[in-house]
Amino acid sequence: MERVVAFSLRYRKWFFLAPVLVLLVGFFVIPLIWLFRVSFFLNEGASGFGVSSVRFYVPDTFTFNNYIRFFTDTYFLNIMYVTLKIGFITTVTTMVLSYPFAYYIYRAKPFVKGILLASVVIPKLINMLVLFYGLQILLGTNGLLNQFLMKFGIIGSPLSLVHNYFSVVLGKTLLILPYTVLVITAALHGIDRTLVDAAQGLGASKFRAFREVTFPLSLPGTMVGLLITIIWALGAFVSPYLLGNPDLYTLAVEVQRQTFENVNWAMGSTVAFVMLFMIMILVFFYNWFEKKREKTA
Amino acid sequence: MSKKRIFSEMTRRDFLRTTGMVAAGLTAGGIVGTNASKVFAAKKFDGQTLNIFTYAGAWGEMMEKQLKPRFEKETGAKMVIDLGWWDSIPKLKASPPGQPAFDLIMTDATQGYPAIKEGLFQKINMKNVPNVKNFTPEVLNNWVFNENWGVTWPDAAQTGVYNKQHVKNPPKRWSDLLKKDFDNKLGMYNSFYFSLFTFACMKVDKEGKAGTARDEVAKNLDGILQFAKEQKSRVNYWWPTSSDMAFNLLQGTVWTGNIHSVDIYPVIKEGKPVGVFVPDQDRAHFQALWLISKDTKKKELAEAAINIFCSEDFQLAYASGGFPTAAPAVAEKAAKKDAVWALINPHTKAQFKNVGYYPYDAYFKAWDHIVSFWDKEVLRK
Repeated sequence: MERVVAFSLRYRKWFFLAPVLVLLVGFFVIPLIWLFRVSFFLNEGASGFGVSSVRFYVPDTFTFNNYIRFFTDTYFLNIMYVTLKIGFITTVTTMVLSYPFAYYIYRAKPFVKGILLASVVIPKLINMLVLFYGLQILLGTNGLLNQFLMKFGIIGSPLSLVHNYFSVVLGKTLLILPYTVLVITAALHGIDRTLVDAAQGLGASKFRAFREVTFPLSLPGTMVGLLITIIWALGAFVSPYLLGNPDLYTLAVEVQRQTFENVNWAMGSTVAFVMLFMIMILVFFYNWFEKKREKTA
Repeated sequence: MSKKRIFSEMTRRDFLRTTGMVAAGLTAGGIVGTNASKVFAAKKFDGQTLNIFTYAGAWGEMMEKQLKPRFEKETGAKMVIDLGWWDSIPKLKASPPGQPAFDLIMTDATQGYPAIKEGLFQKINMKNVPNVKNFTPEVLNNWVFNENWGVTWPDAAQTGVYNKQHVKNPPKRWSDLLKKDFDNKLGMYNSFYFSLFTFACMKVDKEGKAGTARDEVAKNLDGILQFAKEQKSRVNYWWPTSSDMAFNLLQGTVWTGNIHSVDIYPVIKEGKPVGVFVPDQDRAHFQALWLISKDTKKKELAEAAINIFCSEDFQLAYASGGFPTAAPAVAEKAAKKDAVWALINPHTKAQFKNVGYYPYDAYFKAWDHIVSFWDKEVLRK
């Protein structure tokens, strides 16, 4: 009887995990493996349509040509460079804006804290397309911002604020910022306030207390926020596509173009997995850095 | 027991028995009668559902408001409309065998031609689509229709568009887009099948050879690609959808360029400060196709839907929504009712004689080369 009870307790966790595992394995892992296999199918055309090439892919083939093409063609390397550049600028911008805002929420009185948190969450209730078209109305050549600046003589002719790096980074930052702010805010709220009071009681200034107590203790949560930001920033699609121009198309956009417009599934899968490997490398470095930091701490 | 009492009891019993029988009879008769009337009114495709794919935006609205009610009334079947753009063929390709994502698809030549060759569609029994005779023969003279793969028609027209508030001397011909006034003010479609032809029209018009753009694409493709590369710096915005082009045109981000006719038509009808020009020479439309999925079991129902689409009644509704029609009789009526429609769409005999699609045949001969050059040298600085 005791053995039966021990046995059922041991496997109870699998009983609760089973539905999630079935979903993950069946609808994520297996399709991902199949997609990875597609990236090794043959399709030598720039598109899937050419007279000399095939549509989608050639079944029952295996080749590294798609990956070789990706890493030797300046077209794809340039897209990867643009992806990393937009990802980097967006990450820095988001973190620079998120941390002070999260800290302000942390320090605010309860009523103000509620309003600030709502101001972060409400944009996420709006459809992404509405947000981006709203940005175009705001930033367009004849947009509200240019009209305002010209009306007060601050500028003589309209500024070019859309379909460039500025609008792409701004759009992506607006999308990611709420998540990063919430994660950092949660991390800050996990800090024991008496530690800060104790530091100040021992003579530390407010800034020194922040630098030597609050900030280090908020780092683990901040690093999670940074990781989320990096992953989202590297996967930018709608922002470069609607607010950018072809020079700013990222790997995510190229996946769409290869898969749907060119109907070259082999190349589309290849681009998708290069993007995935890129993010996995960054996550690996993040984990390594975190472990090192924790050891030092 | 007295006779009266017995008789009363029997009478009450009889009464209840008789009443019950009459009630049962009436109920049964009502059920049978109702079903009988349903049987007599039943249509051929009652209870069936046709899943169709069509382009989103103006097309989706048109099919929802005009095709679906006509279809459901005539066939008794239901129509479920799926909207999208480039995703129809990949979704069909990814469907499990025997369970196509759609029964009937609207697509264009760039996607439809390779998909037909990939074996994703089945041939149509044109005897079930008698209304196709309403279409002028010029639009059907291609391998897709001739080999019974689908019904083709010229849809959205290549249209020149400009913002009236910014453009004081409106362009009237394609070479007008080459004026200095429009440097860095052009908005062009990022897909080459459309914009490469627009560049061809600009080039031949500039050289005094308007009307020969198709020939130029066929004989001097590299020349046009080079011309497009030379002009790219003048393009401020490569629009991904017509709606984006219309939006940016009204915002003043771009002043002029090309656009699909069906997406600018409602903007003009709303009274927005936008003008259009469609030179008679080098008119071009994208070739739309109705194709029936290979694995569908509702082939006849799909053919019925195509037949309704080709009917004069639906084509008149289609034209009223700003769409071109391939039915000359309908086009004549539409042109008389709507001057803006007449400006954009073919409606005379001479115009129908010259009605043409983008030069897909020339494109398909060098598709990979065009894609590679367009993506690397034209779209990108």
